[in-house]
Amino acid sequence: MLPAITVWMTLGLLVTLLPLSAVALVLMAGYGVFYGILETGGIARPTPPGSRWQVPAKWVRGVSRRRRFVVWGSLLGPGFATRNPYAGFWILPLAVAAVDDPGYGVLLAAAIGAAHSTGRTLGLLHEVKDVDVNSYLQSTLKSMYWRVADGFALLVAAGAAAMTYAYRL
Amino acid sequence: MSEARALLAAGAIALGLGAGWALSGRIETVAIAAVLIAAGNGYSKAYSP
Repeated sequence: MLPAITVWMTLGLLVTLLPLSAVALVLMAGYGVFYGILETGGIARPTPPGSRWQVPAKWVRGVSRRRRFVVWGSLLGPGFATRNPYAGFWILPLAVAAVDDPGYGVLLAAAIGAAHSTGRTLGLLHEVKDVDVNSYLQSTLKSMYWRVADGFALLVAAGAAAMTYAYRL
Repeated sequence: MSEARALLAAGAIALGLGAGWALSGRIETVAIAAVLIAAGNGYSKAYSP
């Protein structure tokens, strides 16, 4: 969790130092509506932006526990370097960039990092506990439900971003 | 998209607009939505095939 928060805080500091707030709100609204409609409508393409990169085995095999902890925590915890089938993830950096104040931006980025890594940990623990013969099929079905939920969340965020932008005009 | 889902989608946008309006366009509306999406995204990634 700590490496994830650190990565997010660094991103928060970098993006809030630039005057991106208004652009980020517009992009949030557009991105949220576009992928929100696709995900709630069960439309598979275009796929959300993301990485297909995997952590190379040699980075985590035969190395110390501390190094494994840093590699997994900093690459998988923040969510940037792993495959993510839900479009919701990439609205998060936009939300951070939408903040005017760098201090508040870093705080929001830390909260996002903490929420994402905690959710990831709880999800993995829950999935490991529930694993059985049909787990792959169940997992795919749950993933479809989550995709729809992600779509609705994107639409809410898009509405919020649009109204925030409107107040600034 | 089914009619029910289209209505729910429109309701979701209206909910976001309403929340933004209720908080007078403050950035906290976007921040709260982002933190909730982050938590859900992290959790749901465990179910990605």
